[in-house]
Amino acid sequence: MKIAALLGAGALTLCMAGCSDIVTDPNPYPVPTKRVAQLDADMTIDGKFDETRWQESRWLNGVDKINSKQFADISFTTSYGTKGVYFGMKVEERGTNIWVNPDRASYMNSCIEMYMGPGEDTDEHRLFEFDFLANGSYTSKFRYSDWTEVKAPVNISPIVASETIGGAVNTPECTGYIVEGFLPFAYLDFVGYDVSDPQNMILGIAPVHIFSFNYNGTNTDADRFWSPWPGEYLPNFNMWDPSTFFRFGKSGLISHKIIVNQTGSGTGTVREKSGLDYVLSGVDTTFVVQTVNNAKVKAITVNGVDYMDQLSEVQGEYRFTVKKPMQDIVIDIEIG
Amino acid sequence: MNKGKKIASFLLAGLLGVSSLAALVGCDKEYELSAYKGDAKDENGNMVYNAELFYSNSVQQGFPDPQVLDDTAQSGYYYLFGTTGNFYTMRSKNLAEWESVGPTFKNLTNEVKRATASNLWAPEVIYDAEANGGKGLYYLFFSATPEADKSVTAGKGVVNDCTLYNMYVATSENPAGPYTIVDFTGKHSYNKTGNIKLTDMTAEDEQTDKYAWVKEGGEYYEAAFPHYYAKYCLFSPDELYKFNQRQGITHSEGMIWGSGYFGNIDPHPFVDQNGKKWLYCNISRPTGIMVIEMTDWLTPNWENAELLTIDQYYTVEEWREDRKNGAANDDVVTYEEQSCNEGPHVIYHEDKNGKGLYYLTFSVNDYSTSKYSVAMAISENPDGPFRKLHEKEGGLLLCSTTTESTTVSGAGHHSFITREGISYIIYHRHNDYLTGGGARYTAMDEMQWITVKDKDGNDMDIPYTNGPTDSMQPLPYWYSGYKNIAGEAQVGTEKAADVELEYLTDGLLSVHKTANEEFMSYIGETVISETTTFVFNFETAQTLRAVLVYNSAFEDRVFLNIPKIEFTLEDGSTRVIRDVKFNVEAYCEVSGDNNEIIDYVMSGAAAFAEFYDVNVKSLKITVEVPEEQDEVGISEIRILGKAGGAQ
Repeated sequence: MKIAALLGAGALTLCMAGCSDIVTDPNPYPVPTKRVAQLDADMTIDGKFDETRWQESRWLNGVDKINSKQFADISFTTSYGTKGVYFGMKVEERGTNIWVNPDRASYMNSCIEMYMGPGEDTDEHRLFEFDFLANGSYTSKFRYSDWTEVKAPVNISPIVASETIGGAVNTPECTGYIVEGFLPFAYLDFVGYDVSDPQNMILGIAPVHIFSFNYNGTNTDADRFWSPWPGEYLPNFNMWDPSTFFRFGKSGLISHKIIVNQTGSGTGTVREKSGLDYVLSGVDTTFVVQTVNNAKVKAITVNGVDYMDQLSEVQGEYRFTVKKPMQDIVIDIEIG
Repeated sequence: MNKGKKIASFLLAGLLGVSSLAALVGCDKEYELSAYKGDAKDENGNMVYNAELFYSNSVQQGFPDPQVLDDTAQSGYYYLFGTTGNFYTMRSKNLAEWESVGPTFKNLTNEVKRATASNLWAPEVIYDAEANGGKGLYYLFFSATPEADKSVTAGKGVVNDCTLYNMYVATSENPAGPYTIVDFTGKHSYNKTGNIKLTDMTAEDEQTDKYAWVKEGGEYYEAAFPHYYAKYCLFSPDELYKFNQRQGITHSEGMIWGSGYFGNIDPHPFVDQNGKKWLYCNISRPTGIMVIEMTDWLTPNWENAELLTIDQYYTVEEWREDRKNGAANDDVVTYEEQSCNEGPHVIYHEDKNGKGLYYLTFSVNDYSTSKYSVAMAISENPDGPFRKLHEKEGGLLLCSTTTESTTVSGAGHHSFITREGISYIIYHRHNDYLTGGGARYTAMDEMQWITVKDKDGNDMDIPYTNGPTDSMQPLPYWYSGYKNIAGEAQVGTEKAADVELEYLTDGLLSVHKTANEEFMSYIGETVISETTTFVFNFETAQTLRAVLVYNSAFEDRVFLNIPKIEFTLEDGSTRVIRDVKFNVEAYCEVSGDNNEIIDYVMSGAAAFAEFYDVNVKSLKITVEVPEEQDEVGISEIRILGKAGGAQ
């Protein structure tokens, strides 16, 4: 009965419509799809750090301060796949908001303005600027004559996506952003990198950060704060020399662990001077020892070498510097 | 059969009866051919197109000053070279999508880096199969400016400070490189430690700049370049200086800022029909084009070097005459508003009567402006004398200002690629139409030969470019597999109409809005005053994949809709595509309360439909004349069919 009713309704519909004079093509022709760079199978670029490679990478964690009320916690890392380099970054700003206006220059917007070059290179002409904007858009530029926008074929072009923190960009609720980026090796080759041995490629990266203060402003002095904060962590930092930048490799920040073994009757803390979680490979690193209740450092070794002679005391704090560390730093310290 | 099924069968029979009845009373069925008509947009709001069939110059890629090397016979690829700082090389199989193959140079010595410290411009590569002991060798010519060398300060001539724009050459066995800079020590008069003493040098010579010389320790020496970089210069600095002197270019004309001496940029190697090698290049002060015969690609023959053009003069002879008489130029080349002749390229072409001409195409005006364009001069010999063509003769080969484009600017510095009878011009244009400047990218458009009247009224073949376009265009057919076969069909209209059909399939796109009127008369549009159906009948069935109807270049003649394209298949059945709209949003600027007024139309743009392969004997394309519009102009109709006929 149901079948009969259905067919009857169909016949009635056809009769009421008169002759249906257009017969639809049973092979609908599709909208052409755009070819984009291929990701590794374990990755999606969506602004979420839900892939295991992000947990396996070593992160650079730093603080970028305008002043005590306006600052940003910044985390940054890299991970190499078989197809290219993945970039992960998280920015949480305090005392400022997140603004992105696509109609003005990228450097006026909230972004990580990443300067990058081959890690061993001192030539400014090899510098490359890549702006990861809070809304997931990007710009990329060669250091050619002046900064010149990179125009690469679609199938090797970067893929970038972001998620915001707190709310959408350009709203008072938005206080930060998470960006995932992918630069194919073919793209790095395009912009002049030697990718003949990609897994051992070392990248010098300065993830400069831009605080944007409003939506429409274009005054670089008043409407944004461009912050070369890596200089706070890198003693020889030079914006035009990639060999002085943070160095990243296939598993993130090229660095070494800090292991502190404390003994003695007193207590205190031992930390890298700028608050880094790691020592940067090959970069002179100063440590600060703060004791509690005026306790004294009785003995200290670094990787088994006596450092008592290296200690200096400044305003109740002890300091010592490890020259060009190339391995994990094991500090045995006795406080009494 | 149960009861339910019986009822269903009865009703089904009734339904079929209704359908049959409908057919009997003459209800025509129209079978759709599903098609994509360009109505999808990508995330940036740009029209999505099929990159296997089409390309668009709106995609910014490549370099300024592009040269394409046809290496398909060796590697299967075209290679792209251009001005990119320290040079990167790209390659492509279709001329439209380029992939990087890495730095052109690697591991340069510090001395070579100093010798090529800046202004690495406009490289061009040529392959010589006979070189390198028959193994073949690629020669890359380019210009660069060395670091200033202030170690030599004595004398006049070109010893001071440094030169600008020396010509260098590098070689490689691989088109992608890496290339090695050639050291010419022992090849020309460069000799840093043992310059040739000029025993006959006189004080009078010193006053007249007869020689490019060095005065050291009170003695005169011939070689004027006792600099570290001179051994890398393709052109003996001394010979180049003397060449300038012979051309009447004074020492002071060749200087700038009282220190650097101008040289040459934009090299273009060319092999004549008889195998003779020539190197064309810009001469920078005064600005013009010169040529020198090359005994081999590393040996210039200065006895056969000529100045071919001088900016703003139609001929070098006129320039020489004016200099001789101290007269001003009273016949300035109409399309040269600024002092610039650069980026030369030469092609040889024979007309239908076998008369051959050399076409020297070159760029004019300031590269940073919208007026930068490609112009043309002709000669019966590769070393001239050349005569620049007037605008009415097609002297402007590629020009964005005559198209009145609102997106394309500064189209120039080009090379050509011809394959299987189809030619393309590859050139650069500004990344940003509004700001112009040095940021430029690579684009390409078709080039065809047409016959025009020269200034004396004689027939003359000239190249014509279907551009610069900024709209979707068909990829080269030897890549896509589909070529324009509209010209193979017998073309007419469904109803008798007074319509000029010759322009409909001549392969020439109407792109200029304001070019010279006499020249514009060669490039026509098919104009209709009422909705018209064009019929294309093929002798045998053809496998079709797309139809493009190119719109008028003029705002008052724009069509907006192709209401119907009807295909008659091999078996006599028909397929129909309805309402192929011209993409007004992408190609027009509009105004009025309802955006009903078209203020601007991008020339060279088409309404199109692409579909799965279909074997077709004939097709009808109906073009609608919009209400309240007197006429419509159709620049061209292209039918993309499988190369080689029906499959």
